[in-house]
Amino acid sequence: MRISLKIKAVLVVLIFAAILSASIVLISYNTYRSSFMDHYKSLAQSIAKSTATSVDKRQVKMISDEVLSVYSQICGGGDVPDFDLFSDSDWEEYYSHFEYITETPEYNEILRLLSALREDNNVVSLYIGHTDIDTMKDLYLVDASVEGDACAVGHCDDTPEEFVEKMKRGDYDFQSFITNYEEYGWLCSAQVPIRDDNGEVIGQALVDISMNDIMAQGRRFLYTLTLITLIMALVMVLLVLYSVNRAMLNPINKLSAAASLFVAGKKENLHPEDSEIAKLQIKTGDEIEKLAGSIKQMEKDLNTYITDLTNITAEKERIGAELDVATHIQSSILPCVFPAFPERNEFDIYASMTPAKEVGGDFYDFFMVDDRNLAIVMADVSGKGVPAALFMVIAKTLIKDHSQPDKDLGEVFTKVNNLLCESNSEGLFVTAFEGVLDLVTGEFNFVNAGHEPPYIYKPAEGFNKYKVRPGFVLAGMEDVKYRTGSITIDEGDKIFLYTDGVTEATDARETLYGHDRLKNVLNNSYEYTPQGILDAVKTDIDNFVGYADQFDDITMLCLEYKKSMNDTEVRR
Amino acid sequence: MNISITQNGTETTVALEGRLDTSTAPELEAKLDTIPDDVMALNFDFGELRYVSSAGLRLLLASQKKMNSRGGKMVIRKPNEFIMEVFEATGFSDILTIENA
Repeated sequence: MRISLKIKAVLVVLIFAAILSASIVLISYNTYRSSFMDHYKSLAQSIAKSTATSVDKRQVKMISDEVLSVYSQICGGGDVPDFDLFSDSDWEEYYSHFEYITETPEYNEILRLLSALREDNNVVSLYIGHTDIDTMKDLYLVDASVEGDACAVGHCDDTPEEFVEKMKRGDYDFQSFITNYEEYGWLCSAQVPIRDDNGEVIGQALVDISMNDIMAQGRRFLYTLTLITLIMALVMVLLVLYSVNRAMLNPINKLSAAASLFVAGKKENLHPEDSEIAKLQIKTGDEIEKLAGSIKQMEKDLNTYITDLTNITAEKERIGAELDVATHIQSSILPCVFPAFPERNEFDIYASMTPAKEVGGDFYDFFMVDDRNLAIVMADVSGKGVPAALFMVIAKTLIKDHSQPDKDLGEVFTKVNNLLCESNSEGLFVTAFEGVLDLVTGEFNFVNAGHEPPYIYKPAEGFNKYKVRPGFVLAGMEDVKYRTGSITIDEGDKIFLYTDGVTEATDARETLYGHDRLKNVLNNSYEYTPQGILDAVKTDIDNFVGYADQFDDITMLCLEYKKSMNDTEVRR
Repeated sequence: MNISITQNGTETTVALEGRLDTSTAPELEAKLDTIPDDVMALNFDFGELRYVSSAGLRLLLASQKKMNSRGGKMVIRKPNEFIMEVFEATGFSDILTIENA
């Protein structure tokens, strides 16, 4: 799946913005919260402290003594009632014992003072209490809390055990603390002991400040902060999108469009300066501009390369076409119209050449030296390609030119050899066999220059390799003497000539076709016409070779001596 | 085809292994060209050579001519039966010095 750069950039910015905003919000909210909490704690502490110092100690002592004496009458002798099970009427009954205290001027003076102190700073309740350590109860002496929340004189609450332990040690130094009860909401509480002139603790000033307002304000602060950072993150994303688009995506898209039009421009044959890439104007001053520069350079190099390649290809095609023509000319030099001598009934002849991939050096030839003498030639130029082909043309022409009536074949090859040596700068050589059959007498004169010996068919014996004196190859060395050999051919006999492309045809396992297979197929097809025999041999070779490549030309010639020529027919 | 050439003074031995044909002859030709001009004895060890085509014969002929022209000696050692047949059929056995030991 492809994810656009745009989406990737947005994702990165979003993640980054989320982490950043979350940390900003958390850090600032916590700092803000702890600072106002500290502020409220010290505020509560100072209100409690100023209450403790400003009340009249004597009045507090008096009320404290009165409350304690009533309380000890009720709970005297450790007989503390279970206040948790008190019904409203129980409480009414209990409060009535203390009611006389509210009539005293001391009580009302303290109540007025406390009410005045309460009137500011969000104070919810401000009261003076006393802890009865023995029964572990907080007793209310004077409560100046807001209307309805105030507790009656003598009301008692459980004192937490650790507070009692602390007080038993004489330690009345309590830290302010913050609580959040469903009933009262957020409260910051503080308590400070009230001591008489002897340092004896006669009561405690207790204060509760409501923090609901400030906590709500804190939450609003949190929401606002979150909202602001979200908006900022959004703005950042938009900015990044805009700049990614402007600085990267637009130029990249332009580059991509221009690059994909490269081949189209080539096909339209646009001038190189008018191509989409050449017309690109990318001035971002960064890596993208560099990339655009590289692509422009690449286009130039490609153009040069394409031009070179086109020229080279055209040149190769031209050479290839000329080589094709050369191959064609070469094969058309060989006599290839059959029947070659339709007016002759004394013999039948057929020849074929199957060239390997490129122009090769095999050739065959047959021609009437005069009216009664038929010459057959089979030759193979060493090497391949154009040099071998040219040399083949020279050799074929020289042999034919020098094969004159009544001229000894040994002398023909001796002469041809010397001529070939003169024009042999490439160190090539030719193996060749030439034979001349006298159609009247059946005398077959031949000369061999290092070529494969012929197979001769006699009805009584079948095809057999006819051992001939090898002789040295043509064009190998000057002044080699060649000698003529002779054999008599009878009516019905056949002569088979070939090149080493036949016996050395190779299969995939590099096995050579060889003389045994050749002799075998010849003897299986001896009764065919020369063309039939050649076809049979070719088919056999093809089956043997299979899918292996053909390395060498495969060239064959077969002559059948059907009947002797009547002497009287010879034109003198 | 593997070609290994050993130089010992003015005597060079070229040991061949595999097939010497149209496709391997150019490689041998390039290596033969590096043999110094003062070599007076050139030996071809054909003990491991399986096949010689006309392209190979051409190289042997060229080497023989080169050695003849400087009055040196060239010997073909241990050709197998097939190669020997090729030498005889092409008349090369008349101009080459062949040793079977």
